[in-house]
Amino acid sequence: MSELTYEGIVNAVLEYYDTNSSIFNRVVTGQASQAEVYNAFSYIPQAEYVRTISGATMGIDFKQGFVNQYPAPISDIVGGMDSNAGSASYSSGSFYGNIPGDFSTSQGGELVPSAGARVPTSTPGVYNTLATIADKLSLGVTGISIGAKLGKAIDGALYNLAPEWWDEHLPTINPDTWVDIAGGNPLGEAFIRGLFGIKSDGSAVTAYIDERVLAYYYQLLRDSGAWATGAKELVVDNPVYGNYTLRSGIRYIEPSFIAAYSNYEQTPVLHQCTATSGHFDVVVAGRQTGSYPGIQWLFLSKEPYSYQTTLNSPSSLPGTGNPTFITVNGKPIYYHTTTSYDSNFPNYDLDSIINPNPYPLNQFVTPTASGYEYRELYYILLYQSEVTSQSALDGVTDMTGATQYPPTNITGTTTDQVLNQLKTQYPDLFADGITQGVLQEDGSIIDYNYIPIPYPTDIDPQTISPTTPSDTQQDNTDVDPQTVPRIVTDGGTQDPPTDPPDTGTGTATPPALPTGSASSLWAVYNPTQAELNSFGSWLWSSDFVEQLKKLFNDPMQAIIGVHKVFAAPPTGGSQNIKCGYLDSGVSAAVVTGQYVTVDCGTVKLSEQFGNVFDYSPHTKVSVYLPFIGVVSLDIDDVMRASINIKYGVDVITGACLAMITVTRDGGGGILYSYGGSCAVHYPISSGSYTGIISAALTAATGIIGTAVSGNPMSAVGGIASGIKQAHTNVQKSGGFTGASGACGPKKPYLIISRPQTRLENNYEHFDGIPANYTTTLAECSGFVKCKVTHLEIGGAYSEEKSEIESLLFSGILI
Amino acid sequence: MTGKAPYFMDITFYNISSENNALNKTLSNGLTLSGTLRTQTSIVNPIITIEGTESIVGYNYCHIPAFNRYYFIKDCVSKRSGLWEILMHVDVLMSFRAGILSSPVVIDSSEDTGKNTYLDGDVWTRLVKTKTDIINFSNGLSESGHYILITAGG
Repeated sequence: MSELTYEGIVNAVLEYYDTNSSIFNRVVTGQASQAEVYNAFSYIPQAEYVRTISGATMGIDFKQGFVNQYPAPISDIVGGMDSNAGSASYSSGSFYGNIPGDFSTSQGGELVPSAGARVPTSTPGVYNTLATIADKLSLGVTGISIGAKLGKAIDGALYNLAPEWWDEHLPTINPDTWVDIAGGNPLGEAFIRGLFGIKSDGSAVTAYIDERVLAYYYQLLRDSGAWATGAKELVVDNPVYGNYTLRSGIRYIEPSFIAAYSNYEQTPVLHQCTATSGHFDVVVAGRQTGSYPGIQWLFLSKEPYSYQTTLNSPSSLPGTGNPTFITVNGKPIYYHTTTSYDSNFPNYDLDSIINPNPYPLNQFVTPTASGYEYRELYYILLYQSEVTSQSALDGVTDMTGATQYPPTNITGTTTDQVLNQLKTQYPDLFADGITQGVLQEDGSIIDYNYIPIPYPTDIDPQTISPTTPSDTQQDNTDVDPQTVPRIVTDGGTQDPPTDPPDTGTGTATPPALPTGSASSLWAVYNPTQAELNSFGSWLWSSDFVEQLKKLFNDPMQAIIGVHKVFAAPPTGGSQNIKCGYLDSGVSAAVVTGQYVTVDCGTVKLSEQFGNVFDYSPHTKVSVYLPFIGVVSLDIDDVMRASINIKYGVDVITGACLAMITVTRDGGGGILYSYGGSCAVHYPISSGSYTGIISAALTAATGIIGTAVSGNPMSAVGGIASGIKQAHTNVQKSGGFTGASGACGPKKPYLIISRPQTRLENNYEHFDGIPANYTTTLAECSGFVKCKVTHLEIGGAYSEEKSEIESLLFSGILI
Repeated sequence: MTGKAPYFMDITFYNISSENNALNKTLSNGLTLSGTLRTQTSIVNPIITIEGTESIVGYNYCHIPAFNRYYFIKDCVSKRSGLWEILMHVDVLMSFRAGILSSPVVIDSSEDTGKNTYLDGDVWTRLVKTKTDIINFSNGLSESGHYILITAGG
């Protein structure tokens, strides 16, 4: 085994070139340049160079065929069986090495490939290695991830502007830069290369993107108005506090605003109130009516402040003040109110300021607050509401509690300028970055710096127009390892298909019978034979008849049905059998449930021959099911399996369902189910007797008819065409009614028909056993017959080679 | 005198009982004759005339190192007393066994290597007769049944 250094690349080339190739010779003798090494990788089918739109190489992806593990669970990634993993290794023939993800050069100029990506340490020039997997992310998924990193949530309103907003706008910001940082080709869809770094214990995965991509997206969001201040609104989380409920429709007003009104010709200031220290958290206004109509202003803050007001009226003087302090529910509230009277500003359309909320402040809540303190109103507005800041870009809002990164000094017009300004102003955005050196076609190495981003684990990475799934995504850069994108396998060459595991998986959901006791509309009893006789005697006694005459025309109206069911019903206690309102005095068990399950047990069907004879078409299996008949099973389903039969029985109707559960290799379920009737109905009136006989006759006809249609003589005619056709399926039973089924066995059994074999003595030596196996003949002994040969025998004439092939096809002894 | 010197070579005769399709023949008690090849002959199907006192009747196999091959003796024709004409055919298996053993192949059927008794093939012969086995389940429905009486009211 060897680490994948330059020597490792030599061996990799060896796998794909014979010793006479010029490229191999150059690589082996150390004459190969780094560009030639790049070229050598391009000939490896499972290695794919991922390129930017402009053609530069942004990474090497190794597909699943490059390693011998398929598919690789997260533990194998960490353990070293996947591309770019920290200790990723693979074997190809006699070669063993690490899969390169990062390239650098030594002091001597030698190419040094390493696995994964470089993680800086506190010591300059010293790095740790991080296992990584690469994937192609859509521009939209990258957008919401970067948005989350910048404290912005993206919702569907963005896509009302354009359904593919990211794809439309990104290429236009800086086209020359875009083709250098986005993957893809000029004709196809662009993507962003995402790296997923895996922690050494496999517990979490962090998503990374190129830092230039962050800068590019930042520029787009900035120029589109994501940080431009739009309208603010008061969003009420909980309008109820105590006995008061906040009215809807209250409009938030900027703490310090200047209103200009065209119908007031002199001074465009209506009322101005600014915080000279501290700030206002909430400002609302209400309409004051009555003798002194005007606008009531309410200023609220969670912290102390001082304010200054200006009334632009010759009769009023500017003033300063401090708010009133109260506590509600233990929370501090600072507030003050002022009023702008209509008399001061008779020509102002005051309602236009507070419209659509015309209420005075005390009527902001219901029931109406009284007194000069509206404590509940203040508490709801301050602590159960929030002021949201809408950006000028639809669909982009601030995440709750997220750190914001406004473009205060981010004024660059190129991506590099924006990147440098971001690094200066917001260095935390670039913390915990990793680096991948990528070998280029000309032999140079370009370092790509990746930074962590939050990643939406429940979104397809190819989604074009995604929305931010979580409002708290900003700090969540840990990705559930189970959702880590796999190495893409679309396109490119993979290993030839291999045999999948020989065992199946999965378990079917077991059935659950409905529950519930017998309806109160009828009574269900489970009498013994003696109890039934006693009940019959009472039924036909003169006392009963006299009483029943008052209730029914026909005594049998009191009896709904009598039948025998061949499954023990669930019973609970005993009580006297009642007919209508009449008590028979005959005690019988009461049926408490309608459905019951009968487990017939489990049998194991094992191979007898240990070869093809155990399976179709040689071995056949059928099963006799009480009250249903003989049904065929597929031997390929049940051989080597445990077979369980359960009957679900409806004791009231007699309907039954036989469920055959087949379990093999630790998994399985109900593979067969057949319905029938396991009730024998007894005649309690001439009409019911006629119906019972009719049903029995119909079933009997069905049995005969079935036998005729399944004419076994047709099987005889098939014998001449081959021995296998002589064993055609023969109907082994017809349909059963409950009455006919009662005449048959009550326990199921398997019927297995096996062949009588006649293998020749020592057949392995004369004929061999089927193999379908690739090897060299040196590994074989005894009789061998080949079906494909690759003969490379020096010195043999073509006629001799043909004869050798012919002998191998007919079989030789080794 | 013109031309090259006569081609001198050995021929070792054997009497083998190995099967023709055996890769390795068991060779023992060989009779080696040395002589000069005087006439043209095929390498694959040589016809060699041997003059001598040794009887080569009873040998069915030979090795000619000069040709680098082993041969089956197809026929032995007596030309006259002491003159035999031997008709041979190359045994390609024995002659090239090293190359054959190193060749990769896909095995169709085998006595030992890679065999799979669950692969179908002509080797699995059977009679037209079958046999039947019954496996009973341990439980079943009630043998005698249970009466269910349903009356109006409750």
